[in-house]
Amino acid sequence: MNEQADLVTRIGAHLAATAGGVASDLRVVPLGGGACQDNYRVEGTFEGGALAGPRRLVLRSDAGRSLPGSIDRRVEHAVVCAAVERGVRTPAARFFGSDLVRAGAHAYFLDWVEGDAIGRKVLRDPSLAKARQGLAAELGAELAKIHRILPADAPALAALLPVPSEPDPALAALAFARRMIDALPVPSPALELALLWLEENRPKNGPFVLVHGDFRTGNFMVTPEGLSGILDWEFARWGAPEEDLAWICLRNWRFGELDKPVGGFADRESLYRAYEAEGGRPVDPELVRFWEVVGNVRWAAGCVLQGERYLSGAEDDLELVAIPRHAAEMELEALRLTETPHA
Amino acid sequence: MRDRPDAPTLLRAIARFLDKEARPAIARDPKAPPREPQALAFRVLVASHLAGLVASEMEAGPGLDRRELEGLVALLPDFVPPLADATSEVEPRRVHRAYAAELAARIRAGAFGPEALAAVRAHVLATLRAELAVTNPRFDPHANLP
Repeated sequence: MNEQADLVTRIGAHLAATAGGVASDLRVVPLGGGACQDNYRVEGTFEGGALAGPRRLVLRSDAGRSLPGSIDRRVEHAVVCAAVERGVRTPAARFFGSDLVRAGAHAYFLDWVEGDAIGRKVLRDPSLAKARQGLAAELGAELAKIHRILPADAPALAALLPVPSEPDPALAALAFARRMIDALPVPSPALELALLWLEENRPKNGPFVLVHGDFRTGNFMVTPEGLSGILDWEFARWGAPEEDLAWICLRNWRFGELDKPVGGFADRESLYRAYEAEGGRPVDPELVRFWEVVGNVRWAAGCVLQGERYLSGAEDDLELVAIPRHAAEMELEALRLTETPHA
Repeated sequence: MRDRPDAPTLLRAIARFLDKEARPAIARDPKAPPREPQALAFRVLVASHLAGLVASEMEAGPGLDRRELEGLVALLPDFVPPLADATSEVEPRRVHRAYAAELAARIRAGAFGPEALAAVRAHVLATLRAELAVTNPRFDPHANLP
């Protein structure tokens, strides 16, 4: 376990240098679940410095892998800092560094957030029943705060995270989807049909705002008191506000609770009304539907490409090899959404 | 139906997981990958689902492939697939993929009028529904969602 001991030593030295305190009982435990990053729980009792006292943090480091459209920890750190500055409920990102976990990998620390993110618990745990009632409203309000961040108001962020070269978010999303589909090892008639519909039905001239990019059940923490923090900003980008509103409503993120469109726990109205009340632009359900189709296309292609990471020999993770078979679910959903008569 | 990763790849991934992760964790081998028990339990579930999936695909796959190919041939009557090669075991898959690739390319090129496109759409939907009945029987392809 020398590798582990070395890691603990490096993390201790980095925190001593950046936070100004040392923990003699520092513990580092890998956390599961990151497709593009390695996450660790870091805890210890620090003597002095910014962390003085018993502390628990999350260390997020670039992994030796990434997904199309994902950002690295350097850009992610800047995104989280911008969100925290605007009052978004997300844990603060601190003590940025490089080469901490692996050579060439950027990393930073997040304050630990209590709560559960796992879909099954967020949707069904009895202790979260009361929290679920207000959750969509809390999320809608947070989304409105995120979407108030515009490229023009955040030049430092826009320098790290470039605004797409396409004239509007829909064109940017379609160009991105086209690139993903062209990268598929086997052509998909279903995705071509969906893309045809998207091209014919695309909204024009929408503004670019900061979008979370993976805003869904599983990527925010919930306690019995409600939303405790939004996590996982690795797909943050400049896009359309409706991208985030649509993504949390994807069938795949309802975890079986199909009649509750918002993340499997709420109706759309609660999300949309809270979003508008916090200053988000009025929600057009047809626009959300367009972005739900986009989301399903992206995730269908993403599923296939996850499997390619395994087949390329770069990674031997069991979970990667299981994902491509799910692509059919998103393909079917994309086609269903493009044939439902307009309400 | 889709076969990438194919059945041998899936089975080897399960075998590797059982040997390199599950067994050392159960034996409390200090060399076991460090994982929280819940994360390991989730991976056991993934492995179990995958094994069941391979079995279901072995049973239903050939019938599904035949029906899909019939549909593709009907939609692309003028398409000439790559020459059959009786010495290659993977030949049926190659023909199949060539048809699907041709269908995708023609959709993209706008080669179908509205009526033909409706037939293409019906074929694609039927193929996806049949596939999902095998790979994820709990998925209701006809659910009407809010």
